[in-house]
Amino acid sequence: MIELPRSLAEALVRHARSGAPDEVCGVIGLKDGRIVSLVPARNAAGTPRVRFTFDDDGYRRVIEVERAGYEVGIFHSHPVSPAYPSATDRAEMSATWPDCAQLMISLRHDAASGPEINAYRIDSRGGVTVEDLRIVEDAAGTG
Amino acid sequence: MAVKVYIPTPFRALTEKQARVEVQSDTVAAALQELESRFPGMRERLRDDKGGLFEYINIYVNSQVIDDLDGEGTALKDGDEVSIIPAVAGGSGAAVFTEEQVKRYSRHLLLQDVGPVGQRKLMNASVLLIGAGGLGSPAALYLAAAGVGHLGIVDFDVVDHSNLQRQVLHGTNDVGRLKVDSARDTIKDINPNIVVDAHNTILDSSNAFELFRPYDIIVNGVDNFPARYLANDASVMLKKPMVDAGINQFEGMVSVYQPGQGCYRCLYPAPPPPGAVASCAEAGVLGVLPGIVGSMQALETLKLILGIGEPLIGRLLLFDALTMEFRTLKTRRDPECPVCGDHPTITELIDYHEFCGIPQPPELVEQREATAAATGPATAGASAPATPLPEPAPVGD
Repeated sequence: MIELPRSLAEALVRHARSGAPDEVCGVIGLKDGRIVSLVPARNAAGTPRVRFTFDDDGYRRVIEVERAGYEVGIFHSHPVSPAYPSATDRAEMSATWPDCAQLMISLRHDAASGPEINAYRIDSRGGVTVEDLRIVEDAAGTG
Repeated sequence: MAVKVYIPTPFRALTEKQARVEVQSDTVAAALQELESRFPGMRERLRDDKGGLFEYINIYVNSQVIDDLDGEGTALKDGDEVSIIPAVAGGSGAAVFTEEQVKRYSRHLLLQDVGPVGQRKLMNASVLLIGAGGLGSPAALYLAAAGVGHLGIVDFDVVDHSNLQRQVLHGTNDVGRLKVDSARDTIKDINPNIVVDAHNTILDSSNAFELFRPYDIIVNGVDNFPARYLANDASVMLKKPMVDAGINQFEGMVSVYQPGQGCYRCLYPAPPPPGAVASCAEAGVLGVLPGIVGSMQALETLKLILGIGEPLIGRLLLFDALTMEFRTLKTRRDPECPVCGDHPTITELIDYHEFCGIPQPPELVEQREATAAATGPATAGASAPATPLPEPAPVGD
């Protein structure tokens, strides 16, 4: 189970919408199964509508989240495809970030029914585990 | 030089969960070397057979990537922090069709009602098939051939000799294998582009929501009433369209339940008494019948994804294989339906075996974890549909 504070969920939605039709991406930091930090990174891919890649700055964001002692995960958006790891996502993440939390947001039905946000882990063979993602109210003093 | 090395999350299984390791090294190469000798498996995660760092491994000293410094030869000072960061990349995939896809889907691309836009919709769609049996087999085959990009299959069974007469996903060499494994292999053989999730599990109230959630459309190929009501209720509650079908000896039926436009319970508010309707194992079935009916399920699913034609929403298609008679009956949402009506009384998944009055077979109970407490079966208070309906056909076998 992964908890996502409402304020971060809203920030994710705003960020994904502002980046559409390109994919947006970034780092998430988790502590005790709760996402406590969500840091956008620039999508440096040559074809950002359908691919995302971190650049140097993005990796520095990863370093910052690691320094803070959090478990590192990744978020990205699919403007028109489902909030589910694509074949590309699986192929890449199974090699580079296996078993890490993957937060995904899809905007394909945004106009009709709103964004879809899901969380997964991709293992080293490309298998996908669905995480039970719960949007939680921000605790007082955090967010 | 006393240096801290930050271990990325994916590598922490190798370092007994340590996120940070102290080493005494003068260069990045020496620091990595020390890491590799202290932690078995580290070398294989960092380097290829020739000993070079994998292209997707980025090494930072403080905030600078070593490519901008002296590579692995970069000198280190006391207090430096070295970070190992695997590349972060992914994405939904190509926006244009590959040459292989253009050839593969050429007959779709030629159709005015499909074309590249429609094919892209198919490739972006997610469909869950419940059951890899008589109905699920043809449905899976045609959805895979059509290029539906993401297929999930739920089946806990193994391939049995008696399946081969109709369950065309499986061949003689698959007898004894898990149905989901056999199904996945056949699907990947037809279309390697498809992402297949093999769910070797029983569908029950404790896992239905989690199983259904990632998919757009549910294709129901179950062979028993408890599963039928469960799949229906879960689809309604999650607002997912369901393509439903049933067969019985020489008859088949197909319908599409679109959220808000009726569900299985609107037609059949109460299950038949246990034993009243024979299963395929008990009564037999002409093998090609589920082949035709399951293919119709694939067809309806494709129409829903593409948004073309008139799917069987608000209609029940009945097929008599002996007379080749097709009939459609009009159906409608029952405002009193306990699950999809105006004032639903069933808002959580219940104990469907209890609802159907069928005791769970012992092996089923063993495979299950303790289920949530049953909230009791629905009352059979809904009025009968206006047009007389055939006996419910249970089987997807």
